[in-house]
Amino acid sequence: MPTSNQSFEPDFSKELDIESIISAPLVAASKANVMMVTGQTRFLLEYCFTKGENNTYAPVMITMSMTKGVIDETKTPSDSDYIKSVQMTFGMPLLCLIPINSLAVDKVTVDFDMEITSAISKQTATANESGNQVIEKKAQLNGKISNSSAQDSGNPNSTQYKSQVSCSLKVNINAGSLPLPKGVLTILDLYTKSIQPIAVSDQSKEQTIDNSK
Amino acid sequence: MINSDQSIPCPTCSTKIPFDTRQLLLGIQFVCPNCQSAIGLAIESKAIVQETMEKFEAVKSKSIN
Repeated sequence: MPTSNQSFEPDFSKELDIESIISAPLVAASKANVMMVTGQTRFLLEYCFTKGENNTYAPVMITMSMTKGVIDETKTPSDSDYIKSVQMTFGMPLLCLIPINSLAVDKVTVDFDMEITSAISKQTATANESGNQVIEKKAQLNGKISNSSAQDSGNPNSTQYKSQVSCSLKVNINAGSLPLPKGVLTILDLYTKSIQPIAVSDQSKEQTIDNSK
Repeated sequence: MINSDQSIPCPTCSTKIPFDTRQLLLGIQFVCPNCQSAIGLAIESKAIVQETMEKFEAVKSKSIN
């Protein structure tokens, strides 16, 4: 990428192969996607998890409060404190509160006019496992980005003469929010499900009492 | 970069309670549409959530710029 101290002038007069023209913007978009995803992943591992021994990660937990109206069965509906407001707390992974999402390049349009200057045909013959000969033919197109518009005005011999010749290679990039990766969704689902209280059966309660004796 | 379907399952009835973290930080409580339980961020966890959200915003702006 050119810095402010360097001059960068695209040279459209050079012959390029068609794959390079198409793949260059796609590679750039892919690199941008990787940069954004890597940043978020590092953030999650650094701030939402604590690294323990044996490279295990444990989620950073936060406390949430819950307020609920509870009916006091010893009172009658006419009593003022028949429904009591009870506040309790529960733990939740910090990860569940972070609005994680995937902002990524989801559409790249490469628009260019190309003047084909040469075409190379390659043929390779290889023998497969069963002894048959497989002939592979490949064609490689080379060309130049052709002039998209030319405007001439005035006398070419005068100083007022203007000539505008431009070559066009337009790259339109559209970024949007993509669905979260399946792995992140699974982790989120796992943690949010763990918020649910577990019903302890009478049998297990008795076992707990026996163990404590 | 807003995760539109952020929700917590209600600890009482498992119904999804939609929430917004920024509003939780402001002290707003979100009510379960089924059992009317209200959930909010406990005061002791406000600092860590605030700090993490600020760092998350910094990571987002860094990756965009």
